[in-house]
Amino acid sequence: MSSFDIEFAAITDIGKIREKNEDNVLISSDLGLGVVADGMGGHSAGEIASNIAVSVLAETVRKVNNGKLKIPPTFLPKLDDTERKILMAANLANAAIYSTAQSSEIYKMMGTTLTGVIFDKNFATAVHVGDSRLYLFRNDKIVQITTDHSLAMEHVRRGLLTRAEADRSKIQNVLTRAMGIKKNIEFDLLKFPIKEGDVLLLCSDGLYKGLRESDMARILHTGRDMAIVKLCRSLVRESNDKDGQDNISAVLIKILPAKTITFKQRLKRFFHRG
Amino acid sequence: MSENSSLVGTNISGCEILNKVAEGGMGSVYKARHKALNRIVCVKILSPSLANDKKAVELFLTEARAIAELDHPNIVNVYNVGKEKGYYFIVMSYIEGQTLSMMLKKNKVLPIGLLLDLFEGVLLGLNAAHEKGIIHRDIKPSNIIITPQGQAKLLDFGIAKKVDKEKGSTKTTELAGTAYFIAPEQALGREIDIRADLYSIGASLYYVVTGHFPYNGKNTIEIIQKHINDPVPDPAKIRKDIPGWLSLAIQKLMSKNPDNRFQTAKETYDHFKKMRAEDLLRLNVGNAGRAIDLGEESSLKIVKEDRLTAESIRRQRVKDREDFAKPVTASSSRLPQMPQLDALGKDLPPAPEPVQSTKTPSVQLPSAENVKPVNVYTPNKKPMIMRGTITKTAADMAKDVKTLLKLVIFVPLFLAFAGGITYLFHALGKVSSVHVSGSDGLLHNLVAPFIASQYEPNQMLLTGLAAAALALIFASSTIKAFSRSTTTLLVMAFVAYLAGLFTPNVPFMELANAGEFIFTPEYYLCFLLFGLAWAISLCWTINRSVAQGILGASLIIFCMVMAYLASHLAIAPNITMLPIKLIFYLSIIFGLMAAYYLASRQSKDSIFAPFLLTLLGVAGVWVYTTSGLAGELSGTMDIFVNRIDVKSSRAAASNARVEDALGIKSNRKFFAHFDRTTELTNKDSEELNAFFEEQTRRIAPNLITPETKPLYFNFLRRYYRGGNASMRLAVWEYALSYPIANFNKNAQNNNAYFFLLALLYTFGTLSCMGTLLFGDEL
Repeated sequence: MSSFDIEFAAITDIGKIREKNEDNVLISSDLGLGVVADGMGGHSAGEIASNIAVSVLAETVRKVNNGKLKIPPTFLPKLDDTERKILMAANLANAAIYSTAQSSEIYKMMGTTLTGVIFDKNFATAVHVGDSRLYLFRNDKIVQITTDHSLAMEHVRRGLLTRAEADRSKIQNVLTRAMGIKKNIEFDLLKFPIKEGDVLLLCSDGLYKGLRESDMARILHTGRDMAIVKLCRSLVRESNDKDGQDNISAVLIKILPAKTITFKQRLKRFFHRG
Repeated sequence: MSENSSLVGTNISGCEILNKVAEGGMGSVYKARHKALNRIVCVKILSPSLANDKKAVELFLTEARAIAELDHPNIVNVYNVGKEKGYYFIVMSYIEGQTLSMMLKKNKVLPIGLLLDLFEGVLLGLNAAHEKGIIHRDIKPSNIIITPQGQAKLLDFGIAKKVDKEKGSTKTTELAGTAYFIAPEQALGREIDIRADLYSIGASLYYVVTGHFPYNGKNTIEIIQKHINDPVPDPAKIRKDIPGWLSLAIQKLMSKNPDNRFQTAKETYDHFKKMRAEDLLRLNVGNAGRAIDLGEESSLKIVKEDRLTAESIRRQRVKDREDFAKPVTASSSRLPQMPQLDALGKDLPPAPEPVQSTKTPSVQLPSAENVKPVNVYTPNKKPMIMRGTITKTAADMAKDVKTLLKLVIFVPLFLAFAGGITYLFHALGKVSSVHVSGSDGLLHNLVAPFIASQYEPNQMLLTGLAAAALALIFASSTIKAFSRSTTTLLVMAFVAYLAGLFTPNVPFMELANAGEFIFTPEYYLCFLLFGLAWAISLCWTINRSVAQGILGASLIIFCMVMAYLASHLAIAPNITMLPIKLIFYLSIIFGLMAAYYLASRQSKDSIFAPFLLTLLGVAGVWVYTTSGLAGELSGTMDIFVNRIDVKSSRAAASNARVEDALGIKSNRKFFAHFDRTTELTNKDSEELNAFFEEQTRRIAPNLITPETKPLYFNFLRRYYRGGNASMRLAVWEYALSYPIANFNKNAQNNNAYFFLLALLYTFGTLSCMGTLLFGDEL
């Protein structure tokens, strides 16, 4: 459990033109987990893929927490427990999507992005694949923590395109890595310390296509005293107003100081597993 | 797809589907017979997963219609296109041939003359399409089919276009175009024109000529980025018999900047024609050996690209030539031995080292397909190692040994630690018992035993030691092995203290009466029931909290104490009374419900309901066990009180008046009890006792002994002051608390405390071992 008090909010919006919402979000304060998944594939396969991704991830984390599922000692022993936990959960989710995809012709090409963050003590551990993003808003500055696994961003990394070119590029939506496409995929794993007052934003590509990073920073700055749910909603609404070509999802996580808890809460916590 | 395979035998657009020929990402290709024309055709059905995608369908149809208009000998003819029976289809001419990639696979090395013939056809077809404004976007050897007559036809026009033309931009993991042949601008996602197709022509030509992909890498991205960034490779470095002009033409086609390529397919075609004619001329005039003609090549503008310049290419070429004794003629029809390669890059093949035309290859090049991603985790390959599974690797063995070592160290340590604490607190209790005095107040009894210093051993010292032991217990919770035993240790300390306080004369750990307790049947049943609830709460529940564990453990101890105490009543429960029976069965049901709640998934986070139910169950069992005593006492008092005469008085009259005023006539009998009390209400305790003595002597001389006298007089007092109901309540109060009240009084004669201590000792040791063996799972 984190040594901070953490507030979560999540919103997903279908956007203006799409017929389906293929995004899935999940927040769980008792697991200290926030996830965004953006599905792809015909029919309703995208929705299914992203749904499997978030649910299997959360369920695995829960099982590991409860001791119902043990991480094999041979599984990446050099990482710390939280990292192994989230990485195993992500791998299981990928395996689940892959096997579902193989089970039917309709689901054959389905896949999903996944960006999740889990909190433990003073650290946030992010697992990431695809082009959803994790931003950290600290001291009024917004920083993208994850790197997109899109062809455009691959080019940017090699210096073949500029960032601005990539944002306009037609190959922006060509992913180089995604869940469900292969049996084994590589996940990015990032661990970073968090501080009081940090705001973490997990979002699908729909959000950042409508909002520039400066816009996000402005909204997060002006709304710093707002309820986090409202803030999350205003981010999504503004992106939808500006673009709205895709599904828009956002998970907003606010790190608050560990507050002194009342007797009732303490009692409640005592009777519930932390 | 099942719905697709069932298509065989059906009619689509007047064609009878015969059998499936191929299947790709876009859909399936069937061989079919056109009924009206009685001709074999090819029907391509759009994959059902794309059929819902309106934009994809629209493009599929527009593109197919445009191709249908073309009617060029080098483009596969399209006869019909549309939608029928829910399927989007294209009817094309059926070509009994093989694709260029299949051909390369079969023949290993293809003669350059033949390849040039084929590509000239391809270029003509492409030019026709380009004139219509259609860009192919996915030119590769497997999209070029060769008829038995040796004519090349272009396949799969514009279908790849779907993905990047779409405005809504569907997310995908596939790039339009094939990585091995993709133009840099296409790979960068820029606007593309017909010159992108020319790049792919160049790359395809490179591949079929040399048997190597122009760029190879461990994954698609790397290949794509090499297309964008790496210098253009020289095909002549791999295949020596390639004419110089062709090598340069391929490099020109593969220029990074579209402006540096040939600008149209026609221009390329013309260049090929011209150079081949010159080759032929040179062959005729005996200049066969020197395929390079610098003068001729100067018309080809090779623009400097990265490290290679036209000049450096030429120098390299000349150098290579010098090593090359007897070159084969450019248009030679001999088939040099080259390994097979597939344009798709599937099931790959040993690739050749730069060969000198007839040599067999010996070096195997890495291919994109052979390189797998870093294997992070394979759930299927490595099954979860569950609790208790014994694995035999050396590391695991070492771990086992380590665990064993820990067990050997920590379990005896725990036993010693727990024993020491038990002894210390027992001693403290023993000494404290000296200082407890019935005549002193509660506060004195709570404080004095710990600070009294007039006797030996010094109380202060013992108290200090006990406090230090408590601190040690808390500190020990940081040791992993002891972490789960802290509560047990604390309870042990407390029980040991009580044991010392109340049973100073009983030898330590004496368990003489255990058998009697355990085999008292109905209490044993209750014990089992609550034991089960405890076990479930500790082991089975999802999301079991620490509190649940503690609660379960404490409840079971509580139940055991109750059962033990009740077993010492020696009075059978009053089973003749229906309410008592009902209470007993209800309590059993409560206990079962508690167990159910603790075990069920739905209420996994709830602890209050099972807690309440367990308490109710315990209370029910308790009432049942003490009902015998209560019934007996009550019966005795009934005989006694019925014989008491009560005179009527002034007070009785006043009560009657109150009753009338309140309209209570029906309860006269109840209020009559008050009449009886009036005679005694004003008397003090002394007088009351004298009255009771006289009455008992008169009515039941043998009923009351000196020991039971205060008890019976207490009941009688309640009777006279509150009536029959009040007395019954007092009787029940007494019966319910009797076992507990007698527990400590008779402590010298029972071993409950020691039994509990032994149990706790075992629990503690087990949990310590469990923690060591199973870590967090316990």
